[in-house]
Amino acid sequence: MSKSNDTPIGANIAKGSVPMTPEPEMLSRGDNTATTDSKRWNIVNVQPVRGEPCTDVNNREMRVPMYDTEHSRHIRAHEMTHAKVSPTAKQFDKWVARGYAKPATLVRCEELRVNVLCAHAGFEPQTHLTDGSEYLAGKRTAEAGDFLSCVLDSIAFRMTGGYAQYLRGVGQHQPSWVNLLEDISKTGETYYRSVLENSRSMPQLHDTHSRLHLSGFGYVENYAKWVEEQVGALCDNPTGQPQPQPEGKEGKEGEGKEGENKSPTETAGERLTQDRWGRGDIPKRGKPTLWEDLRVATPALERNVMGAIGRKRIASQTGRNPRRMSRLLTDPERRIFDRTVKGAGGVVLIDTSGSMSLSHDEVMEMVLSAPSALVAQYSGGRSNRPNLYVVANRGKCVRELPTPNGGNGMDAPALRWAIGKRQRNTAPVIWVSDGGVTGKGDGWYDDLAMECINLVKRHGIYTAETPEQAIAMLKAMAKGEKVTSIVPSHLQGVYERITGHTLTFR
Amino acid sequence: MTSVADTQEKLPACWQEVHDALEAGIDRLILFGVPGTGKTYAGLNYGKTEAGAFRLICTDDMTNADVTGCWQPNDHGSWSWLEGSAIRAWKGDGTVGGRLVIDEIDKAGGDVFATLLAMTDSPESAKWEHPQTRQVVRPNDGFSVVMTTNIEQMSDLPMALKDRFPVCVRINEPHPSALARLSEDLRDYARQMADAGERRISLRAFYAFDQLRTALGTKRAAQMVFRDRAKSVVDAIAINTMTPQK
Repeated sequence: MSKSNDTPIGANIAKGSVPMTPEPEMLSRGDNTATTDSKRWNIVNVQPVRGEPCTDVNNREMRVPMYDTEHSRHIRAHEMTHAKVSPTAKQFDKWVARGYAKPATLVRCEELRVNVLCAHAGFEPQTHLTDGSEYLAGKRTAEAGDFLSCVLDSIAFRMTGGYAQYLRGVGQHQPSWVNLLEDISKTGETYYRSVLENSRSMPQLHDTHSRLHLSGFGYVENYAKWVEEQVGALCDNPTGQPQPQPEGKEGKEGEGKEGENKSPTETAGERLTQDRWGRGDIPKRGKPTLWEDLRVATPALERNVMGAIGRKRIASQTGRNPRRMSRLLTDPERRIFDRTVKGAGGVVLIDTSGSMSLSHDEVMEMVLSAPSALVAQYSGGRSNRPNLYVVANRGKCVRELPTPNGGNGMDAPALRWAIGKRQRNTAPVIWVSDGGVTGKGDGWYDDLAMECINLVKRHGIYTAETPEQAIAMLKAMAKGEKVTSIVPSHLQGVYERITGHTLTFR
Repeated sequence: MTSVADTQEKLPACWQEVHDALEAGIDRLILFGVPGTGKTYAGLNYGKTEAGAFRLICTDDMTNADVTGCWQPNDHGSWSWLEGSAIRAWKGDGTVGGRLVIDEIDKAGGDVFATLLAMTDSPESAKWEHPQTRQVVRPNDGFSVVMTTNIEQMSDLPMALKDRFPVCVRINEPHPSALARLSEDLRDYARQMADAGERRISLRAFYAFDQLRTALGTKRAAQMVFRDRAKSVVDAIAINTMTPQK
């Protein structure tokens, strides 16, 4: 990612062979203009030795081996991916200035992202990216007791052919570290892969133009932040020596003898197991969440919803027990058997904040239009009251709708709750909101809006901006018709401003 | 009149300059830069070309016969004068002068170059005498000249020529209408590689690649078109699209 000022170790192409030059001019980035007369790429031929190949996005210089071998080809692919996705020096400085992670951690986590992207693009870094020095590197670093470097290097080596060798080298002197290194680096790989697999997530893992903290390099920052949290104690103690616990904080009762010092690896190991994040989720530790906490209330559902379709039987031409023999004479299609059908189910989440200006009748009409769905209304803003109410479920609803708090405050947590409440994976979730999502104190942040957008896209949530649209959508769904989301105008605006694209939902 | 801007709403900067110059009535224009970007096409088609556009392709071996004309045997056993492109462009449709498009001006020999200087001189100075009738011909109003060359630096052109053509535009990317003939996924590559210095790939190569890949697949098509660079090109596409190539 950075240009080394030393003289490159040049490589000589065998006589008769053609140097395989990479084609960085073919790459396009959202944040950088294509090649220009004054800024063409300078390609320097170097030996395929660790430390020699590098890419300077700023000055458009790429040092790569040009041999026609799979090893050199994969080094070129790795550097090309840097040219495609890695931040420029100026951008990198800005990421560092955010203070979430140190440059060394960011660089190593970026190496892993690049390797994951390479593999995603059809290359095999796991097989071809190794120069044989990894075993010794691991052995010597572990011998010096440098746990932090081992963590960072294992992340950088992850998904390369040298990764296993590196761990083997570490294991020669610090066998207890191996599983930990494996866990930390594997978590990163899983995290990046989960973003990739979720093709509907925007911005994507290789984005370069978004200002969001959760965009291309933002994912790297996120992972780097998590890594530093896991080995936080060691970041200030690179020798890996155990640190004495502050007085009175020796550990919880029953966890060990009073005053016993935990080794850094033990501490990190415990934290690792306590604080994993799920598929593509964001680790929130170390940074105060901007959302309100979700406080769910389930008032009594005393009123039957007219026309509720739960599980019921309908006549069928096929079956085992002919329960409707009379239909032999009365039904032209002779449907004498029974077939069980389930209600459509689904979850309807209604934003009842002030900006929606929903009347009691409008909310009730939506509830009645979704007879088999779980319906919840949410509105934050007050600390001592529930902010999400389940107002209908399984064909029953509340007699009186709760009074909303007035603000938003927890749109994304409410969406996550709704997703988790689906009766089955195919059950639809409908979010009725104007998209005016806010966090604590009713503050508007683009990041919060984008988090909601990502959730909606990732989970295929239907959106409607007004009660009329929602009711029409629910009625169409009840008839089995195909429906299309109406994108809330606020979200559309944010999305266009940040990504430059038009937002579309399911 | 065909406008450069007709083909697409937002033109690249270089093509916008061509458009603006022609729209403003500039009648001496040099388009220079990498080959295969549509300079000649623009010269032949954009701006006021209703009175005809006449093309001259300069080579070392060409003579003034292509520029002003030459004697040619006719059916009656005698000789007739065949007018060259420059004279035909001067005359245009008889009332309005046409467009003279001179390709590869840097390749013209000394005598042709001198004649071309005379033919592209200002209307007040330009004149030519018919060798048989002795009629003096002058360029009609509306006569315009667009020169194209693949040289990269305008300083390589002679001063006398530059003096006659004060407006020079460096064309560094293909015209959008030419790109539109390519599949959408290849357009950015063609645009970027058109001006990639020594690693330039021409638009025509991308046309061939586009056609071949539908029948033969990406890798084989790349091998046939890009030869030694095939692997690197396919790898670059894979990385840029984050999609494995077949």
